[in-house]
Amino acid sequence: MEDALMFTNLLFLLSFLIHYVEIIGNNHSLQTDGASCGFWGATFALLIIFEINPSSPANKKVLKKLGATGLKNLWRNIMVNFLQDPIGLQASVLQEFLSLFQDWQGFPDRIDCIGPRPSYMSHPKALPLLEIKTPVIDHNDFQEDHNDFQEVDPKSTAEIDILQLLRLQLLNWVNDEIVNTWLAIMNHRFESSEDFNFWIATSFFFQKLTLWYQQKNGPKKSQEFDKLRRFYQKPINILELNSCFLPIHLPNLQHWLLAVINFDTSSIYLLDSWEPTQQANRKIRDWKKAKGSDIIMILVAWLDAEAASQQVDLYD
Amino acid sequence: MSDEEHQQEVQEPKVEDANATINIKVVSSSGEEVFFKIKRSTKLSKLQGAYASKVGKDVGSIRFLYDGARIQDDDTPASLDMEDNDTIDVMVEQVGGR
Repeated sequence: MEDALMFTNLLFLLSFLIHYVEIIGNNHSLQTDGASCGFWGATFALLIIFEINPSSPANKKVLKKLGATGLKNLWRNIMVNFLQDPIGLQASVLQEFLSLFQDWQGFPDRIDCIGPRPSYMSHPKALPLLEIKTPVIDHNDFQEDHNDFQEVDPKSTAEIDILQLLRLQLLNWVNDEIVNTWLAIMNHRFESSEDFNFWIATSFFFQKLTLWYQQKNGPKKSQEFDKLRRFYQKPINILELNSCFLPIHLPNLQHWLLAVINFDTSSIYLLDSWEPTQQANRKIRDWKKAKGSDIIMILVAWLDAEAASQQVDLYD
Repeated sequence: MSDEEHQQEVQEPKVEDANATINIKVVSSSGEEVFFKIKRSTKLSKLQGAYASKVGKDVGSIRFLYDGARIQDDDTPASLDMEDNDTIDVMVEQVGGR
């Protein structure tokens, strides 16, 4: 019984090496500016979680129409609601956005609150007040869907600071704080799905994974792998999940992208909104020729190490 | 009689636990290690501040993780159930926009 299980895992891993799928790409880059990859990545993840395919032609059209500015407005609304409402993010805020897409089925179980506010977000650092213009939405069609930022009525000075932080961050580049807040929202959504098991890594996991990957093989590397597994936060068997989501930050390029591992179809997806890295990753489609530092290789090494450590566990 | 009652009310606090110190290793993403010895009841935000000034960084530009989760302002070694020689990971703020 146990041997059979182990064997399945190995087969399953081998099948991974065959598939490498890229959803967004093929010279139809959605991102046209140099400052919105984090927004695109988060939006793709959001859509996938709610079972909307971001690469279907109709949905791509909606995304294109929204553009980077529309997305930034969307995420600003989400963040403001998330931080201001004492119960957390209201489903109605997402409903407005999700209903723009063709395959949106509505919230299955009539959820009102999507995600509670994580406690560390309630300690905002004081930031200097900055005058930043409210961006204009790309297309008039979507104007009515977005509340004006000024209508939000902050309840306390602490919340004003949060709003300043948001303004500052949402209109500029995205940092880990914002990415990991999205993940908190999504994680909450995940927990409410009974027959779909997933794990979302924080933005720091891939960085740790890369450091582990670059080490020489040996006992120290296996020790480090055990430490890496503490990042899972809960007792899960990665290889038996339906999906894994890994936000990936490339420090040298100052770029965000999202890796999705679909265990049901044995596929690794790189969701990337930026042309230059799309091209670089397309080159490694033949993974055997890829150089050591590439994203896919690191992910495959991780899954491989997971399978190997499970064999050890079985023989213990 | 009343003295007895008073004695029952004022129970001795568990001095051992509150004052016990543990060693904590803070590891940066490039692998450099800094060791701290703190009380189990001391807020880790104090350690964060000490680390930041030691390495000469703004505390807002670095992130402290225990088992992959962000350490929050009120966390202490006791509240996180940390053990002696446990490790805290320090990561640098990740900014991206391309």
